[in-house]
Formats: sequence, structure tokens, C-alpha cells
Amino acid sequence: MPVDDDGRVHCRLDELLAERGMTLARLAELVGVTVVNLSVLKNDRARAIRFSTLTAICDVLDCEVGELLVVRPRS
Amino acid sequence: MTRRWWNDPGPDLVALAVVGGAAVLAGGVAVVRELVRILPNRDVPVRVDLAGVPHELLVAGGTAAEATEAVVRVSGLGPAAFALVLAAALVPPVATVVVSACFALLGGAFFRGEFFGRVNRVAVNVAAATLLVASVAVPSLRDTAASSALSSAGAGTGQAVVLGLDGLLLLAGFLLAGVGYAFQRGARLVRDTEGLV
Repeated sequence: MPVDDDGRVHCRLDELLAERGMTLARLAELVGVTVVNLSVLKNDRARAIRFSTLTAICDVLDCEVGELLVVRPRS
Repeated sequence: MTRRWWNDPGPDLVALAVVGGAAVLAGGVAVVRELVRILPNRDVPVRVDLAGVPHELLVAGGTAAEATEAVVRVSGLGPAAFALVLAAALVPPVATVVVSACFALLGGAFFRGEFFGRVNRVAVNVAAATLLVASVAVPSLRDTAASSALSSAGAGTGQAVVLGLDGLLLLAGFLLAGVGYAFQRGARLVRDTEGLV
């Protein structure tokens, strides 16, 4: 069983949106996910992400999974 | 898209809560009625199974009938027989109250959109356990109390403990226990998908 390492995965959605000049509401519209769910992801409160959500976000933002999600080192 | 009335579970859930609440009240009334009938220990009605010794009867119009059950009235029961008769009379309504209260609780919770909460899981498991215990306790206590009351009145069968089983209650108990397991898995699924986007 994997060790519970909640909170180490950081979502760079904020930075990627700022770079592209896109709002969270517009992304939600294009991806087909609610703003609430995207907000959960943006604020690092998500504990799991569907492959379908991940690929849809990467498609819209034209980025790689590694650019969207990064693993922080253990403190 | 509008939701059609036959697809709307709301009224059913309200009905479940209301009927459950009404059954709790009816069970409470039955408990009080049994206490009033039995506590004075005079002319206590005891249901006796006559299946082993069938009695043929003639009812109106000359139709033949067979009595398989009788109500015997006994007074001055000894402590053990009295306790057994009291337990036999109280266990069914108490079980009804417990199971109905669980259903009323579930109906209300489902109506509020709460499904896999701890209270619901406990309610289903308590109802299942009550039915399983009642499936043995109700017939066993009834028959043991009858035997004990008859012995106390000097017409004993000599059998101290009579074990019985109510198949329907047992099946209902197992069915609810299965539902309880599904609730447990549902709660785990909810926990696992928490924070999933």
C-alpha cells in the first residue's frame, strides 16, 4: 500500500492560465468540467484526477502532464 | 429535462419515514398494551400451539375445521414463567419499534440526500441484527413461554426450552445484512472518490 503523501502534488494551473491569458471559467467551459472542480484542482485540494480530465486540460492548454502537475520534495 | 413523478423518489422516501414513524408509535402502543395485560399476573393470555394435538371443530353451517392454536388464560404465574411470558409478549413489538425506527431514520436521511453516512450504516446493521435475533427469539420465546405457562398451570408438557425459527424474519435479516454490506462498500467508494476531479 502506498504511503499517504497527500498535498505533495502541486497543480500549476494558475501559472499556465496566466501565461495563456485564460480564465478558469473559460477553461471550465472548454474542458467540460465545473469551475468548482477546476478550483479544487487549482488550489491543490484535489486528491485524485481522472485521465479524461487531465488529457482534456492538457489539450486545451497545449501542455504536457508534467507541466501541469509537479511533485514537491518531502519536507 | 423535467423529472417525471414516477421517477421522483421523494414521495416514496417521505412515505418510508412517515410509515416508519407510525410503526414506531404503533409498536410503542403495543408494548404498553402488553404490559397492561400481563403485569397484573391475572388471566394472562398465553398463545398455545396445538399443531401436535389437532382439535377438530364444527363451525357454523356444519363446516369442519381444525384448531391449531388456542389462547389459554393463566393467573399467578411463577417468576420464571412470568418473565418468559412477558418477554414473549414484548420482544415482537420492541423489535418492530427498533426496525421501524431504523427505516424512518433511513427514509429521512435518503430524502435529505444523505446515503452512506455512518448513521445510515448503523441503522441498516441494527435493523438486520434485530431481525436476525428476532427470527430465533420470537418463536423460541413464544413456545417456551407457552410451555412454561402450561407447566405453571399444572398442564405442562415437560419441555423447558423450545427452540424455534422464523424463516421469513431470518431471510429479511440476511437481506438487510447484505444491504448493510453494500452500504459499507458505498461509504468506502465515497471516501475513495473524495477530491476526485
